[in-house]
Amino acid sequence: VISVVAVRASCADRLAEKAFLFVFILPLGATMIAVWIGQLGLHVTAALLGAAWLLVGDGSEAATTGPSRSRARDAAAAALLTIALVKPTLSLPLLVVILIVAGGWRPTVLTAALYGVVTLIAAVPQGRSPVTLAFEWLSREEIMNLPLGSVNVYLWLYWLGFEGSMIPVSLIILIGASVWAWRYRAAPSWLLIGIAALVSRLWIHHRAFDDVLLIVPAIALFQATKTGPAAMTGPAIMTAPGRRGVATVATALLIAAVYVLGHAPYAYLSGEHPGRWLFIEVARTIVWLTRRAHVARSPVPAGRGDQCIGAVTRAPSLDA
Amino acid sequence: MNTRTDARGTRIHRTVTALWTRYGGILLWVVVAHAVITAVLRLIPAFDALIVVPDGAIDLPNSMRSLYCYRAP
Repeated sequence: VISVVAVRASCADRLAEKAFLFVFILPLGATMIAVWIGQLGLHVTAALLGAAWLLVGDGSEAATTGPSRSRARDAAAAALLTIALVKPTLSLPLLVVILIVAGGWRPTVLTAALYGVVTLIAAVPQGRSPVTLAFEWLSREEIMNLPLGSVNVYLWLYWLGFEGSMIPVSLIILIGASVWAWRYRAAPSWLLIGIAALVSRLWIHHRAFDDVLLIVPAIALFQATKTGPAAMTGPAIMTAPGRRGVATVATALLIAAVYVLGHAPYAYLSGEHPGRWLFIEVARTIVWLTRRAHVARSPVPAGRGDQCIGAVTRAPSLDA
Repeated sequence: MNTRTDARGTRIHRTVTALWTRYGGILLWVVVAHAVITAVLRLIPAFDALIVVPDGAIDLPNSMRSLYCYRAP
């Protein structure tokens, strides 16, 4: 599912580009670890990407107009989003932004209803209220092994000695990302979804195996190079031909940088050698934040219409 | 708008696009081949012997002996 959505949503048109997007997730260190120790990152990412594809497609107008979607499509997406909530620490900000971008009330209501029913079904045999279970789960989160975390706000707060403010900071990030997505909901869908995936990876404690979520911003960046400068509008300073060209080249380089860093051996990323491998942590952080800032500040295509259809005619190669 | 900056940006873009058009396909296929080989090595246990340094061969902690693989030897 991850590979197929990556190919379809990225607007890749050449066979080599499609092959690259298809295999992007497979060799990453995070994928290997998620498979071998049974982490749910791949399942959650697949569910989120499947839901995003059902709700927004490649970001074109027809798919993103809420009322035009069928009930079956919304129900299927809601079911996938409910599955993704099996690990809300990884999925929540991205899930919220997907629902905002998708538009329409039906997916949100269906997801909330499904999650509520599933939670009740799980709580009844245990003889405790869902609220009690939620608080127990949160208290478990507090005993996580922070030093083994990788590139996340909790690790940075831990280094700075602000462990007590972790949950409030996470909530502020979640609310901020949601408000930001709502404010810019007319922007290209996959740019918003890609940035939300980075927020999901940064907002709370995660270890290196949760890097599988980075396939989402990779898709967004690739689509940005394919839908490219020809369709961009915005302030003149950002849409001058030279600036647009540099922006496209920078976007492509960021995809390459994240792909290469994703291959670093797990021992380097796991926090077992924090001093020795600090430079990798710093490099990854810089690349991620640069991607986020770069995507957020990039000029945007004019409207959402015909993302990939336009890309084929506008950008047969990198962005030409 | 800074015209000189704009011209330089255009030149960079034109050069990179020309290089990409000529060599991008080859580069991508090399990356794809590397990705497939790496995925096979990392995900299939039968290939552990190829990517895990044998115990005692080099004086390394367990977490370092497997540079390409998570599982400690």
